[in-house]
Amino acid sequence: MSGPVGPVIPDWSPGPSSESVAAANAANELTVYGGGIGSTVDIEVSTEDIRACASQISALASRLRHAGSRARVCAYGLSSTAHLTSFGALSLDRAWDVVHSADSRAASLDDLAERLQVAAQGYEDSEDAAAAVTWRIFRAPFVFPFFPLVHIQFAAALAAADAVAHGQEPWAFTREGTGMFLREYIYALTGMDDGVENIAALVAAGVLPYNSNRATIRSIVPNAMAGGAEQITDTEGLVNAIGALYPEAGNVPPGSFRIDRMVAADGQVSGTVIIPGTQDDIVGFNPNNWASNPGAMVGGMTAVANGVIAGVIASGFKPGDTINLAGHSQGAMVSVVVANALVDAGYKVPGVLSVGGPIGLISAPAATEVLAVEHREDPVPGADDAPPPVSENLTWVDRPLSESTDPLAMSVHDPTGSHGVDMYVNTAALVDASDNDAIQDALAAWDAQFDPDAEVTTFYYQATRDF
Amino acid sequence: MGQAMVLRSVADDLEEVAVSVRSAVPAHWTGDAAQNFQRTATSATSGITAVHAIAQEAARLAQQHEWELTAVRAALSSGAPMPV
Repeated sequence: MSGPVGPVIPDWSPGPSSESVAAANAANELTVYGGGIGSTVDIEVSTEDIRACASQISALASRLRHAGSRARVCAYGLSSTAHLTSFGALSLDRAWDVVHSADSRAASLDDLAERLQVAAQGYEDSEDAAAAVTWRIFRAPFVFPFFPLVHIQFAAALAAADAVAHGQEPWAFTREGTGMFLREYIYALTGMDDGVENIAALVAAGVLPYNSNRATIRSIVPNAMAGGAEQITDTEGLVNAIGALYPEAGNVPPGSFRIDRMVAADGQVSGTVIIPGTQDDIVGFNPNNWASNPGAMVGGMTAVANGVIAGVIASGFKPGDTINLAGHSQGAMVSVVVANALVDAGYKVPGVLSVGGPIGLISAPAATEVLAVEHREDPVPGADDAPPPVSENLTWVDRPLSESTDPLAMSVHDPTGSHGVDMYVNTAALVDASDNDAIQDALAAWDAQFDPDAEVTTFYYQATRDF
Repeated sequence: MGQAMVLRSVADDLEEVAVSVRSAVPAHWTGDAAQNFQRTATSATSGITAVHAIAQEAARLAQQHEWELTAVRAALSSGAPMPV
């Protein structure tokens, strides 16, 4: 006879909580850069400066400790005669005060030096990661003007190989592959080295006569049966709400965006603007069409941006109010553009959520926490051929779907999946579950918007391009 | 003896350290992180300045102690030997 002998005692030890499992899963799936890291991009200080500062602080801590040691010797000296005079005991006490205080201050300085080193490391890691997003390839001599097609084919072959290596179809270039291919394509045909920004600006100006940047908005009532009007209390909810704004969701007509106005229990008013991405054709009345992409990519005030600002005013917000923005794809670029415009107009914009947006060419307001969520296999964030605008107010969440253990992520083989809102909803849930400090800091900018007890009024608007 | 002089020297050192800490964080480093570090550095400077003040007081008291001790020794020098 085999098997257990005697009573079977159940294991009552508590297993890991669902929250800790989710946080561990998020840590495995997400690579996070940011959270007070800063960057040479917008702070004009090098990591060498910060490391030098750390070394100097550390040296000062040593000097402080040495001063404390000398005071200690004095204290020992005083202790042998302190009982003989009226000032002896007091001077001995003070000498020991110096010893202990100097040691304590030295420890504080050491801590400061260590934090500076960590900050410098954070800068370097983020800048390295950001630099890695732009993929440089070999350029044979005389590519321009003699062998453009050969070079374009070479770049395309590399991008295709990279796509396959990341579990994508050969034509479904990754973020890095897309940026590289666009840059090399432009180089092969024009000789421009980093031409994406220039060409985007050129195209934006070129389409303007056919696509005005002016827009008219009208208030609309969404199709309640299609859902998408739930109160938003987390990032997943935000991305879900973005998905509900695409016409194919059947909730709202093309060119629509959503504005939530929250009133907290203490009367504080705040808002959330939710903007979907590209819809429809190149030319048309829908301001979210393809023609708006180049202008938005270089930070221009597109028809969508103008429509959104009109919507903010129509929703009763005034300068001084707090408004956050969230957008997907083109909506992400518009979110950053509108954030700048609102801050210039006196509004407070503590947070922007960029979902799969090529926002590398647009600087966000200095006091705005930008949370940029990207899939490495998503070609769209690479369309600007620029690393995320790494700064201390940007938290960049990168998810390599091809390395995921999630069945949904593993089933993604082209941009309909890697750039799709459904996949980003899945990633947003990981962001919510993450206990990463940088993510937590970035999400703190959304506290007012995610307040479940706030009284929320939701407005929907449809913007139409004026011709 | 001589502790007062050493403590004065310690106080001078602490003053120099405080000034150096105040100017350690690069002035051209701006933004939230820089402000946080600058705040910490300013707080550390205040703390070290306080220690400097204590050291000065310790030096002053030690000086008084040494003068008094000298007087005690002088007074006792004519009498029986004392373990001073």
